[in-house]
Amino acid sequence: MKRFVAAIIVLGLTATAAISAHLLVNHKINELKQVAEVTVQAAEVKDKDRAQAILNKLSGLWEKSDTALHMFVIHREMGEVELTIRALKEYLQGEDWELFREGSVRLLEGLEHIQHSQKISWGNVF
Amino acid sequence: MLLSLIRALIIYVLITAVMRLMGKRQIGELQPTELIIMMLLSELVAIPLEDNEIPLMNSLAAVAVLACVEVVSSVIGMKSKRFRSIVQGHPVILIREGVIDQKEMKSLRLTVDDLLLSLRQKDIFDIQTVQYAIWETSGQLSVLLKSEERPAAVKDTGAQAQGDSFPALLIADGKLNASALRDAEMTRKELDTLLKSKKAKISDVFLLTADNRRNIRLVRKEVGA
Repeated sequence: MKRFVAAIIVLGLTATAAISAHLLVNHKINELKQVAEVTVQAAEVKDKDRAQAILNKLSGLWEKSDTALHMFVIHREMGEVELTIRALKEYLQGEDWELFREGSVRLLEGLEHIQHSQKISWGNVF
Repeated sequence: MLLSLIRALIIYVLITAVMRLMGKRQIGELQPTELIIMMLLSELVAIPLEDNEIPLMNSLAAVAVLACVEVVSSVIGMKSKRFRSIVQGHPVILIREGVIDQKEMKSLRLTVDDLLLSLRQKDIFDIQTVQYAIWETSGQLSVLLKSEERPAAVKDTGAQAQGDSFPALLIADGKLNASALRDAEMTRKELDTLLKSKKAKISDVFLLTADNRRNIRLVRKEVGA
């Protein structure tokens, strides 16, 4: 009976941890997505100061979310997002707006892909 | 490398905890579901161990869920015969009074060779000597021989059998095992008297066993060993 109680407790804890992790990843990605959307807008109007401020905010947010996301998301997908953020900084320094816009869109797509792969759906379950 | 080492240690702790939670069973005694769970657990922990890109948390959660569901399922199985029958199946009688039940053999997809092999592994070479042979849910064959074929027991000879006793390990390598005194139905005072009579101290004794009928076996430590 002790084992049964222990199993139920562990099961409950695991379910709580899994739901919390799911909500956390979703929240972090949503935050990053919101900033990435503004980055795309800044690239379209070619506003360097605004783009720089947004990029700094994005980098800060990414560093803050890094540990939590690495715990639950496959690192390859995280690596792609990280490399895109670094590339965006270089594009902005060189004022290459076309590449900056493409990079911003790629970043947004990468974040959306992570979110989609974590989504509870029949497709992902099966 | 260091990362793999830390991850391996975490997995070791988790697997040890999970095995303790699931309880001890010999591989041959595992039910089909338990065997599959064991195989799945090994796969689940092997993947993140090989690839550091995969978060450990995902595997840990899956391992915990599988182990807990297995424990819950086994407890429900203890309470409900129907549930047990659905999850584990039920034993099937393959031989009755020396006659093979071919219908059951077919339903289990067993060949005569499989059956004869299982019988031979139990030192039975003639089906006619079998009263009942039962195919257990663990995939093992249990056999009851016909009464005339069974080996004689002490009671069959009419002799008076004494109750069995269990030799408890009281001292091992110079260290007293206090809990074993109860198994041997012996008090500490009796042990001290026994040691005194043998002119030995606990630290001098390599092995001391005793049963409730006071059958004592004492081995002293060898000098220089």
